[in-house]
Amino acid sequence: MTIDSTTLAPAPLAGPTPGFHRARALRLPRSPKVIIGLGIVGVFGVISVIGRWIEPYSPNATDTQNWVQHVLVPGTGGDTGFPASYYPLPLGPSAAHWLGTTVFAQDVWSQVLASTQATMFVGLVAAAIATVLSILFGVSAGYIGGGTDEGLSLVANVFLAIPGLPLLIVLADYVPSAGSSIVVVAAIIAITTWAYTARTLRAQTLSLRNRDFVEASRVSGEGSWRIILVEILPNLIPIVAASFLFTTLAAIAAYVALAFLGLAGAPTGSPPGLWNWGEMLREGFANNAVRGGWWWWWAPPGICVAVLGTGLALINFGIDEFINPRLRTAGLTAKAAKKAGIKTSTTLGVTPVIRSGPGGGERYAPSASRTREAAEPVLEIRGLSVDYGYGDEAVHAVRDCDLVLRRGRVLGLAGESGSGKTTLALAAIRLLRAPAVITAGEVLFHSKPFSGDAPGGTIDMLAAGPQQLRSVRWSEIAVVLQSSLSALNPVITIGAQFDDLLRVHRPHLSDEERWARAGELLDMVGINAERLRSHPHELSGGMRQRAMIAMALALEPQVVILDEPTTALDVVTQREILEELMGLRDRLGFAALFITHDLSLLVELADDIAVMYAGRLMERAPAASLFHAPRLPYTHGLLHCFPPMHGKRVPMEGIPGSPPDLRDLPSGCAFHPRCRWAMDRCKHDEPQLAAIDGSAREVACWLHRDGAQVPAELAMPDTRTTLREPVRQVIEP
Amino acid sequence: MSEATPVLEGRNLTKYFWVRQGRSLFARRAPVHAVDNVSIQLDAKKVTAVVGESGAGKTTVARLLARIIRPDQGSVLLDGRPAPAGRPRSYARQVQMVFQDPFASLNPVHRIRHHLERPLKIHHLANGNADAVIGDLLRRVALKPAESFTSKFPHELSGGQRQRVAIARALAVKPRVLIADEPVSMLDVSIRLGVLNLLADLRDRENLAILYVTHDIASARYLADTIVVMYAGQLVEAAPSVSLTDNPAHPYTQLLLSAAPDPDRAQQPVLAGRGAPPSLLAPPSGCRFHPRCPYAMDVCKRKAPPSIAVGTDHIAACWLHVDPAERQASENGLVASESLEKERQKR
Amino acid sequence: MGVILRRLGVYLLAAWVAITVSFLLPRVVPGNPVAGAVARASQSGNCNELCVRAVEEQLGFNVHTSLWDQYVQYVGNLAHGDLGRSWSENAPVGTLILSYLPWTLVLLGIATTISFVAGSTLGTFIAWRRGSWTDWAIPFATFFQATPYFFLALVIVLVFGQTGTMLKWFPSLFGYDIFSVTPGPNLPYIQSVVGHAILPSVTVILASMAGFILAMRNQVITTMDEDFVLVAQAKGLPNRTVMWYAARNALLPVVSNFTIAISLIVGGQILVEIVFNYPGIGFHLFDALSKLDYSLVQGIFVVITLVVLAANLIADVIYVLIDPRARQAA
Repeated sequence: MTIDSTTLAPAPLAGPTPGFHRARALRLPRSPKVIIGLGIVGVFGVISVIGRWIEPYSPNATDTQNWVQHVLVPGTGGDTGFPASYYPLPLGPSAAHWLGTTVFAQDVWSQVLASTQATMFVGLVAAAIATVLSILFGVSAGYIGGGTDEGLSLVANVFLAIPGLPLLIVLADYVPSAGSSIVVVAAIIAITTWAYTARTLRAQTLSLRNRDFVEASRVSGEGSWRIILVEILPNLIPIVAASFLFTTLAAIAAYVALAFLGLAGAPTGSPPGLWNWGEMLREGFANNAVRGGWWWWWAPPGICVAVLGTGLALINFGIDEFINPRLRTAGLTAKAAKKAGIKTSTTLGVTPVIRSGPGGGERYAPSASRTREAAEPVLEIRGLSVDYGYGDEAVHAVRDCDLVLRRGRVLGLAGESGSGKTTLALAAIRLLRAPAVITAGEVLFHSKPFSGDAPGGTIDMLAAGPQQLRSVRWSEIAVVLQSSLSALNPVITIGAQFDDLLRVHRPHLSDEERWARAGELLDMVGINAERLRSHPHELSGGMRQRAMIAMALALEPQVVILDEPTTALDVVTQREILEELMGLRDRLGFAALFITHDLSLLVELADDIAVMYAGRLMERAPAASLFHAPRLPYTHGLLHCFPPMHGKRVPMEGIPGSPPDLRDLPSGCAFHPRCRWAMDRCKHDEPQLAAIDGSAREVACWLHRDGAQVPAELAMPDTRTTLREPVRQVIEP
Repeated sequence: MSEATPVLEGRNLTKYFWVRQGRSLFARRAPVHAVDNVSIQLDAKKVTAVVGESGAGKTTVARLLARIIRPDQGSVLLDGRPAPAGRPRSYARQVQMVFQDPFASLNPVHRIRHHLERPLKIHHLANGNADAVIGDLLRRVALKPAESFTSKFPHELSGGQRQRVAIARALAVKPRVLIADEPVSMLDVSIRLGVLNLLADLRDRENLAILYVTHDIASARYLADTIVVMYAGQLVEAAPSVSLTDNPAHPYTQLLLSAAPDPDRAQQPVLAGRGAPPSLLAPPSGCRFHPRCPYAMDVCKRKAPPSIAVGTDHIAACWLHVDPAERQASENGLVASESLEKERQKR
Repeated sequence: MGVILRRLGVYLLAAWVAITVSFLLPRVVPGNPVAGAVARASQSGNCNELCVRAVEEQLGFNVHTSLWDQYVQYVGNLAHGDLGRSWSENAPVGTLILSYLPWTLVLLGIATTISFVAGSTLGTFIAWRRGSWTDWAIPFATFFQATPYFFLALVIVLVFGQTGTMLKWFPSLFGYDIFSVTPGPNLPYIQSVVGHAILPSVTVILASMAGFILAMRNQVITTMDEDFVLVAQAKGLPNRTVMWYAARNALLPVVSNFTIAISLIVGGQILVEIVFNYPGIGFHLFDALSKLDYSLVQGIFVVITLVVLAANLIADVIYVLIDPRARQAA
């Protein structure tokens, strides 16, 4: 029930809430797409206003002076007895007529200018009517809910199902004034285009209505109207804006189509209609301009529609990216990556490594001598640094971290959200997505496969290519993420997801063998093998996470990375799954990197614990030592954030302040603003993780350096080697 | 539990949510027994915690007491009098609520000032010096300097700061009851205690009656005076917090306690009652915990247990605590109790 | 089947609304042009007295029974497949539409399928390789999406059509060569039909594909951020499989928005048929409009609506087939 740290990690670039922020709204016009879009729409807007004044000729006027090309009308002149009569030919673009003339010797450029106004007008008016309609429909359906919602939604769905243009044609055909009044045309177009927006707004309102801030307004006694107008509507602005532009685009297309069919009134007809782009296209088409090759006549209005539409769509792209930050991050990332010289497209699924200096290898001596037990390392992380973003915008999410996971042991990685624990673990197997970049360090995987045909020996994970990484991933290093619902592919069965895995990594198994193996694995975590045929949504949260664990163990990996595997589960399920997991660890002998924010849980199940804060490792110790004799003020504070389950109740302090913002870290030790023992030195110098003089304990804190006065709380005797001794009985009823 | 009239009381609250089974046009609608016959009292200057797993109905109880939703049966009493129908502003002035997710409970388009100003305006509490009142509110939730927060947007604040703003908003109307639905579960570990301490402070200084809904029994023990444990929509145990956690009487409470992380624990805990809570569409007969209960007896399958006093202010709904003879009696119904009576007379 | 039945209910209601609209328009819109149409029918010589009477009855002109009785009769006639009588063609509307319909359905079916398959594939590809040269496809797709179908048709006729003035590669008028081949199951006719279908279908495909490309790209990009794609990569699955995971999930919202797509494509194709003089219902709708043959206009409107509703139903069935969650609820 904590904030998912995996989604928060890239937060510096992609805001965690897709709501409407004024600060981000101001950023909207900066995207080149939006600027181009606004430019295009702006130019057409200006033309629609001043077009009538800057047109060089009247759009209806026949230019007899330049009427030079003409053909004899058949059946006149010569021997026919009729006086010779000439039929004009359209003129190509010239200085006098920039876009040539029509077959009636009218100036095309003037017609284009004159047409812009009506076309834009109909588009905007229709979109305005449709938007108002859809807000009324969508918001009331979404807010009132129940039967009203069902009724209104049905109406919208019916309108959505009836094809728009045919309905438009029939309506326009019967409404007599449609030919002359563009407001009527706009209204008719609005009727055929409002439903889509209404449906979108209804869905959004529905989700907003259930948001806590609406509930909170209601609890404080706010009236319904104010809730809709002041609390809900402002949050809909981006969607309303996007819908308005989309509807404008659709309305212009509909108007042009209608005019092309001759249903929007001809400028010279009775009653006269207005010049518009569709009418120009109709005249060109009706007078064989295509066959005659007179493209200058009908191409300009068509291109105008397409360009204006592109402009509107480009603005909409900007709004889309604003509503769905993932789309924007994609674009930004690609560009920034290019600037930094990284080819993101070729490194999909593999975090790029850009080391400015030499690898961290030489700087770090092997630390085997420092540990009490000589279990050999299986995953060694040395001096690893990870950035999100590139160049100046980079956020340093993990800085200079060393971590050694030993064969068959459980290493706990503790920290709050944003401390970089997930980033560190996923970077080690190079699974972080763009915009993450590994900027320094070394990750060595000492492989001794239990089975399978994966390679043995030491693998440099940061130098490995995609092929080598693929062969190591899952077969030797598997991952379990926090949310099993999103970690399992929702559209295929659990069995198929086992099958994909085994097919790739155990190619020698037959179909039946793979299925049987998958069944065995489910059985191992206490799930009936029948469940292979189930889809993820058919299982409970606990079952899904068990299935995920079974999948992680399917290839007998040497390392399992457990990223908050039980955080989303209830305590009883959590305890059950952890017990199973530890039992399997004893049986199968894999090493586990267990990541969690819950230090009290970690103390119970890890052999060793590393504590992270603001992207750095701050303390490493065996679990019992860390719990009974913390050396780091932060660890001490964190341990005192969990109220005890026994004994007298005493007031506890927690840690003052908030976890730091990675984009704006405090100078010196990042923890100093929250540290009760902070010294002057802590504000300027950043302490390095190193052994305390004369002991095996490692901590990054000035209190333990150069003979500083160590507070009693941080100098508890470190004598306990196990967490608990059997003293008390289990509670009996 | 105490002689004085509780500030807010829920009596025999029952709430069903009707869900469509399948998405067919004529799908049968079936009730989810979200809350079943739950009674709860909130006293002034006391924190009452409701503890349970997800789906236990604890949030529904909170929302019933806040009158965001109406009970299907049972009543809500304010100062011993039935709460008015609907949710009039007079009720909003007495009972306020703090939500779980501080990222969702503040409107992203409005500044902090708006969030605190609205309740003042709705209830005509500002009398022209709204700024002073807002500053005071922010100081009471330890957001200092207050002036630097009023013109900020929610996204400019950290999670803990947002939750403090949400508490300040609830305090704006000077309520007597504060209902806090998982107020710290979305916050970072290191700042949870700060918010809990703030709630304790408000209880002591402002005499608030607080309902603290949580899944974390350790934090309930820390903050609450009384803990109420819910399972599958029903209340299973209620007691002063220390006596509940030190001497749990209901097997489910024991299970919860043994599952909770606790490094101080002397021994590896043994989970008694594995499995998951039942579907509330078709809850088990009798005691809803009986399919998981290690001590389940025949009677548990057939009859819902009565609430039994097992200590001072300590009640548990469990047949284990019912005298075996009485248990037998109530199981056999009237006939059995008559024969029991006869037996007693013989003696 | 629940979901499908529910959707079917919506579509039946939509069909009823379309039918009612086409019944009411000539009767209740004040000052509508029905009188002129009837006059023109009777003057045309194409339509005898009986025929004029039928047209009048169809459009509610000079009919003195109550609106409700007319409605009952109108719906009753429809139920028997009687869509009225076209005066300009002097034939039952139903028969006429049946002869136009295959042209439209084949063109629509082939073009939509190709456009959907190719568009989704391209969209997935562009999303997958974002940040590379493929990003250039996006502004082009946007431009194509904003281009009216019929304008694209005009350009294609100009450049590739035999009635155009440039390359003259493909026939661009009529559904087959009406001068040299006789309709029937003979090879020249079939060759001619195929040849004449090339440019119209290319137009519809090009114009509609952009929408699918953009929709799919956005969905795939959004889906690729999901945990299960990360897990697929962590599993060491080949890129092909990972891409399929993302595409398969991204397809769901695209298919569920098919309603809007099909409505746009049908609208566009009507105009494309007009440009190519392609003998489908779109072209004949245009023809009927210009001749003020309202019986035919109404009949075509009702039939197009039914075709679109059927296409929607197919999309719904596909959706239920590819989404196990919908399948379970179904």
